[in-house]
Amino acid sequence: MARGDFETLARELGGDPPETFHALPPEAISGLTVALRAARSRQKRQLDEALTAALEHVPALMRMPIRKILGL
Amino acid sequence: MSRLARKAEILKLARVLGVGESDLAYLSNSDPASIREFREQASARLFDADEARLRRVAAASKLLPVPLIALIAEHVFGALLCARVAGLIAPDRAAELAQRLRVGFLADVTLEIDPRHVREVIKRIPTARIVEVALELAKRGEFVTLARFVDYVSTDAIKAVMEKLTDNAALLHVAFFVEDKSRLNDLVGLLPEARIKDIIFLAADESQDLWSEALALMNDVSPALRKRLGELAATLDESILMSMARSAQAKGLWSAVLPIVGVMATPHQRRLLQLPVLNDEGVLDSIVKAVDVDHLWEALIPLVPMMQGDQQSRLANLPMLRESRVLDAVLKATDVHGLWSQLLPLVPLMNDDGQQRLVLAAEKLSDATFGRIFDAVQASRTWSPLLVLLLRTREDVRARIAPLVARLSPDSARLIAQEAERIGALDRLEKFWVSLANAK
Repeated sequence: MARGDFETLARELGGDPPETFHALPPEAISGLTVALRAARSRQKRQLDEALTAALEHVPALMRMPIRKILGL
Repeated sequence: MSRLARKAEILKLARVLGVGESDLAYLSNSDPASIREFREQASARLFDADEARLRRVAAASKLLPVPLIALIAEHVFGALLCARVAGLIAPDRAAELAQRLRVGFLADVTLEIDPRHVREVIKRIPTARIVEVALELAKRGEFVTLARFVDYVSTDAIKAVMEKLTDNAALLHVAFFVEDKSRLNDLVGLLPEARIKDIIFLAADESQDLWSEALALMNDVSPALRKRLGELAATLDESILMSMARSAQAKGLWSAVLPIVGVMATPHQRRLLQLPVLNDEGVLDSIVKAVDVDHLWEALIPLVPMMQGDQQSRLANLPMLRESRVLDAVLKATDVHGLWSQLLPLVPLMNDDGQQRLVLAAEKLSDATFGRIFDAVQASRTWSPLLVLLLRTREDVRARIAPLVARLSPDSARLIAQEAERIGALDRLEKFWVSLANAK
């Protein structure tokens, strides 16, 4: 496995993956990197959408303070 | 067992990453502990990535009434985001919210949540609610998730769930996936004997393919509970034991069976060893291979005296017991665990080649070990097995044995002579004495 692939996964993970993962083939390391990156991006997108949509359910009077807290 | 543990860990990681189990097929040879470690890292990373915004969501929720939060949670946020926020909301309020959510949605949230982050919330959720969600998860076959919560739910709540969850196969699956295995003592301890018997009967229904889970459970509990479960199984119909032996042979589960047999009382051990299938050379070979791989000699050797004669002969002459590496391991375990009087009766049953190879392995033992062998034999007063070995030793080894022989009591010397006569080795014994005298 290329050292660069492992380092990319470590960066995506924010720390070193388990030592035994050094034995995994390169496609496994890149697969995990892609999956983790996609999960982060999906979570961010869901949160963006949810925050906007949630405001529609909040009573009009409460929207301003809620927006402020949410930093929107 | 590690295959199933690995499957469980891959499933949990797939859930965290939002991919299918098959997408992680490349982890099928990784060890479960590493997959678990990676999952915990990934889970923490995903939480950290949006922590600041998730904290703002939790803070904003304080301004809204719980029924409205429940509505937004279910219809806007969805299970994944609710799971991320749950640990950031005040536990009392989060528990109140859990009461407002539909059971199905709450079950969805539990699939995504890390129970470690919501310990305090779980403590505040009423038992009736926990039972409802647990039954929903069991209905969906979400045993991995159920198992993750076992570590964090009160014993009373577990008891209530087990009373309502009548599906014994589900119980076995959940027990298999529980991460803190020490918790299983509480869990199994709560089961009445009739239900444990039902679970064993279920495992013995080979169409259910549950012996792996049942044996794993018996291994994971305390030795006292393991003894109780094992002996309960051993008192049941022989067909149950045959089913267990067939599965152990077919699925390579002997390493899980032996520690259970090891803690049973002698009559139960004897009953198990008398199963016809355990007299089959192929089965004995599988057992010895499992024992070798998992270093379980100390579990197998004490059973030797309870085996039938032909069973002992088959065991003693297995090709694997001619390998120097294996013999070294057998002798080491025998010495460490003080099992000489249980092992030595196999020696006269070995063929010439086997005995010779055993002597070669034994010659590598230390003087202190030779001393322990002599002590054990002197205590058991059964000299012929050791005599068979001693008569095969080479001159240089005899020099090491001489001091031990010199210390033998006259009674022991007389017994040795009697046994030598009985096995037709009196003349060789005479020569042995002479060689020892010369070696001094």
